[in-house]
Amino acid sequence: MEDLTLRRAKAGDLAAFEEIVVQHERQVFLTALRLLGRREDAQDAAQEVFIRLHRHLGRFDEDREFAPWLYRMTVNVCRDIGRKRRREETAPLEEGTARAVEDPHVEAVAAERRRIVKEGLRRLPEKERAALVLRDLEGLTTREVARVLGSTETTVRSQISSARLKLRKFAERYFRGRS
Amino acid sequence: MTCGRFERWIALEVEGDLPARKAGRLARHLEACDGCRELAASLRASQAALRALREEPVSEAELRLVRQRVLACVRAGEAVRAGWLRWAWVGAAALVLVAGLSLWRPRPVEAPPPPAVARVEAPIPAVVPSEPAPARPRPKPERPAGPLLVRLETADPQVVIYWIFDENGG
Repeated sequence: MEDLTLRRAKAGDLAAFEEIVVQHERQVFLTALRLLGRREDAQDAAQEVFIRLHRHLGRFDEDREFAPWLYRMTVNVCRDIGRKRRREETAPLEEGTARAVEDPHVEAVAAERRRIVKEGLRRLPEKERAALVLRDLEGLTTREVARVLGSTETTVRSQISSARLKLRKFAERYFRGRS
Repeated sequence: MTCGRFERWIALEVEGDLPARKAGRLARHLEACDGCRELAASLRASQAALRALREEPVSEAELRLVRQRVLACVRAGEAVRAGWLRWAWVGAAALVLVAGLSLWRPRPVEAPPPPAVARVEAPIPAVVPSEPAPARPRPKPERPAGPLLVRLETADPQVVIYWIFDENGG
């Protein structure tokens, strides 16, 4: 992102702020979708992230990197929304997933796998899920993940190894149960 | 070392997160342990499924919807803030006006000074002779211009003494 755009947005230029939204909306939406698992929740989260961004942009130190700051904000917003949703309901696996396994079409099986992985992700402890999403889906390094989460690299490595093992176990149990 | 520890290492190794010094030990363990080799294969498969989520499509319409909602909220917030700011200015101006009015007092009209009146105390006649008090400097009373009349009343109401002084005290 251009420093000039950021400076203009900080000064209250709404067009510059819109530029920032356009540049980062895909990243924010996808991260939220991976952390929360549902599109409606991801939309709410992305909206909240950018509203908070607008509110706090004046405080952003331009010497710092913008992307990790935005990731951190996204993770925090998703944590808040996720906790609220968990209080409201515990959604079971969608019925459509069981039907898809019986579908011989390769694409349908791949889609089924994705749904299972998403469900497995949703069941992970909050911090492990955040570490895994940032490392394996967003492609951040372990050091970057640690910085975003305000943690250490050792802790992040422990969280991602635990999360990968749980995810693998969940997927294996599910597919073994269906076959 | 138990396989439990190696399981964690395998989970790191499948994505290249295991430090090199541990990777050698893990490789030697995998050569000897069928269960851990199976786990490694299974983990690679589940990680491949996880990575497939990277390809998940996002429609432009979805992103546009979010963007529109964000900008609408921001504009509404700024409009509210601008409204508050305007009212704050009006309020501040009203406060200044009220404070100014409450502090303002009309200047009192100065009354003309009263006319000068000369007062002279008449000396009381001494009945019992006493020693004179030490002389004390006393301010000399201002005397109005013209002759001065001094009326001296005695113990006998029938006897009143008048002195008339001219300007020279004579």
